Amino acid sequence: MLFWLLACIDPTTNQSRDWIKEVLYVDNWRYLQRSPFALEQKFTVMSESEYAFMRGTLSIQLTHWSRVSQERSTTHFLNFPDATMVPIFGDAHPENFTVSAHPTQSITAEILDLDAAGFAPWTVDVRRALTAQRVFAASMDGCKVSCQEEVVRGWLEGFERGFNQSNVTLRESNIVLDLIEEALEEGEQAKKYNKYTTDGKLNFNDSLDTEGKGIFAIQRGDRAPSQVFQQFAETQEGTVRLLDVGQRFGMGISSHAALRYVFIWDTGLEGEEDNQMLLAREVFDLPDYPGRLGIESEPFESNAHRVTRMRHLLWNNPDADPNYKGIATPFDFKTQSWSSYYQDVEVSKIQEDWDDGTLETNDLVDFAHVMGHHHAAVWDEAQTLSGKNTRTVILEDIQMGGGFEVLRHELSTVSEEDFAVQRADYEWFVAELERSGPLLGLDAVGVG
Amino acid sequence: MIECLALASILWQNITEPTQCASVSLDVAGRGWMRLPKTGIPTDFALHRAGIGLGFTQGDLHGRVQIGHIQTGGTNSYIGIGGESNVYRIQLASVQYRPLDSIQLSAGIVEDLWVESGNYTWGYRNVEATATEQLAWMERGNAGVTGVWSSTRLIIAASMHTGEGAFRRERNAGKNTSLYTRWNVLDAGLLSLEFYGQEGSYGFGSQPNHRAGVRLASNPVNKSWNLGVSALQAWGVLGDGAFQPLLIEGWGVVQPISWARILTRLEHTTFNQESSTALMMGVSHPVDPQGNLGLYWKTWNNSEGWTEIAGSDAAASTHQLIIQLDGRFQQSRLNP
Repeated sequence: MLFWLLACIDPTTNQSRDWIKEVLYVDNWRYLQRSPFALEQKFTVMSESEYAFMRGTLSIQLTHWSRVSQERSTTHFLNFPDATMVPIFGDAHPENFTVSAHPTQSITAEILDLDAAGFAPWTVDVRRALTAQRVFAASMDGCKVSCQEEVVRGWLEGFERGFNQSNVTLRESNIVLDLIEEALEEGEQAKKYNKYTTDGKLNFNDSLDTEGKGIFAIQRGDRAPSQVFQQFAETQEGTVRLLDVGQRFGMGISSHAALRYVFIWDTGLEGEEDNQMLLAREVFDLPDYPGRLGIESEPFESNAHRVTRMRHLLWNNPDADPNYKGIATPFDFKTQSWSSYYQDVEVSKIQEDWDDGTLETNDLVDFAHVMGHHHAAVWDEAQTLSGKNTRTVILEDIQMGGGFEVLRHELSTVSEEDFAVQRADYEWFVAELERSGPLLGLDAVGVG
Repeated sequence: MIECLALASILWQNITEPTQCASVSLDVAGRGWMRLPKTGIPTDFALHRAGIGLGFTQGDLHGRVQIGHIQTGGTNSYIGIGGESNVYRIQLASVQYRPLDSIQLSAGIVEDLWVESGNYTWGYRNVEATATEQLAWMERGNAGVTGVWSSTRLIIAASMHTGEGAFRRERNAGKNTSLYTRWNVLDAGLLSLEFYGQEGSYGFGSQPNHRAGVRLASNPVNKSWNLGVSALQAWGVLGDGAFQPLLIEGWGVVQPISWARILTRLEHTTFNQESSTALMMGVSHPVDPQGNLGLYWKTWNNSEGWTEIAGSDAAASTHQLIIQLDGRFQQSRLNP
């Protein structure tokens, strides 16, 4: 029934999806070779909700947008080459939106996760962000099409505002306001630190919990964590002492199977007053963004260099997390503070507040507005690959394409299409896991 | 003159009697280029080709290995080897057996019959690969077996292989089967007609990987020109079974004076009313015995729905100016 329903709605959603396996293989072959079990876990997490699936499938969405064999809407934008090479977040979804309230910094909100950041067409970034907003809204029980539309419209209004006003008013959103209060309160209490440590040492787990999470002692012979920390320590001034280290499992979606280490470190004081937690995670290549012109090789030295450089281009406050560093030895890692002063949006918490009536459609719209505003505002001073002002380039492109009204109409339409495709992909993925096994058959010769 | 064919395509080996010999070859091409319209990194230098071939013919056995370079890391990756080093990988590696004068059998990473015959008829692989290879629709080799029956006028070849190319293991239970026929309409390469068909599968999803091609070429021996046209219909490309494009190619090369050669290639791809056309034109100075110093212009024109982001005017028309020095070196030794 669903098959015929989808066929009537949109032929694009009803195409064969076996090609998606090729994309998933390219995305995940390193995990597959290193730890098939970790990849199984990643696929399981991706299958648990549409939102989680969206987080793990940026490459699939990009492939949808670039497949000549697929019916695609045409854009009015990307009218000249510079518009195809602006700094983008790549994956600006709500759970990547982080409030930073560290006492040494002014309170800001950032897309802290820059794993997918690079130079690419700006419309790709916006389109992905809108898909995320729509999936985010649809994750709330009862937020149907009109509610989702309002959220998308809210993001677009905020986006347009961001070109005229670079200061984002975070307190216009109750969701962000809650995050700020939570960050200040829990940061002060060092809630996360106290949860994961005892007497300055990490609390190691014996086994993964029901969500597949846990911290374990470093395996004998694994020299990567000490090398990563040594590199990190060299970037710090004064005394840096490593107090403990462990391997963390079960975080993230797209990077669920990546290596993660947790460090406890201090600046030499006795007691735990100056103790801090640091998270290090390996960083892989950014996705293959379609539509880029004038690039034969990536413009950074390494993925570590990339995330460090993009922080300076895409964060309102490049020092929002002073411990955010790219580490290129022994292979590419990024480090970041693991502290309650940094609070991410969590869809599950928003859902709880939605279900008990604390949050309503307006709150989702306000939040989308802040995120859209933030998205455009960061381009105010960022430079394109050619060294031009990103805001100027994008505004010129928008004008050439017919202005903001055309932009709103186009993006609203494609985000609806993208959402339908995303939903059909998810249905396929869940069914395919059932049919082909927990690794989708990527580990063995398929029989088709 | 006795010629050593140890490095020749299996489709052109039965033209003369087999000779016990060994050959090594080196194809190197370096280029500088400029991309228009200018943005990002508009100019660059590149190692375009660094192929090494090794072939032996001894009695009824023939062995051939062809390796080519690839730059690790690449256009979308920072994960390279020793930085972004160029490394070699096997493109072809086959052993051939000639049980009868007119029949050859081959096993290993065998030639893709359409790609290799395309390279032969075009003749300037160091300047540009044919479109099927450039677009990654097909690779030079596949793990499998090939059988060829040859006569003066007619060559018939059949191959069964993985269809995954030379750089991937088999990823589905289906095998690819291809058939190739060449009719030498006129002697000495003056006119030949080729037909090609492939039925197959690709990738984890066992997606269709079918092809049907026809080529009419004139590649005369010891003449200062060649030309040809070809058409290739694909059903499924690189695991995308819904992509069923038609590729039409035409090319011509002429050397009107001893120190200059003119080359041109036209590649037109269509699918569902959308199309892309690539035109390459150039002039090169032939350097004896097998080298070129050339200046080439390549332009791509894409319809609205063919660009990676549909409708992007920025990608509708792009151009590349190339200056390249290339050379092919081959040493053969009879009765080694």
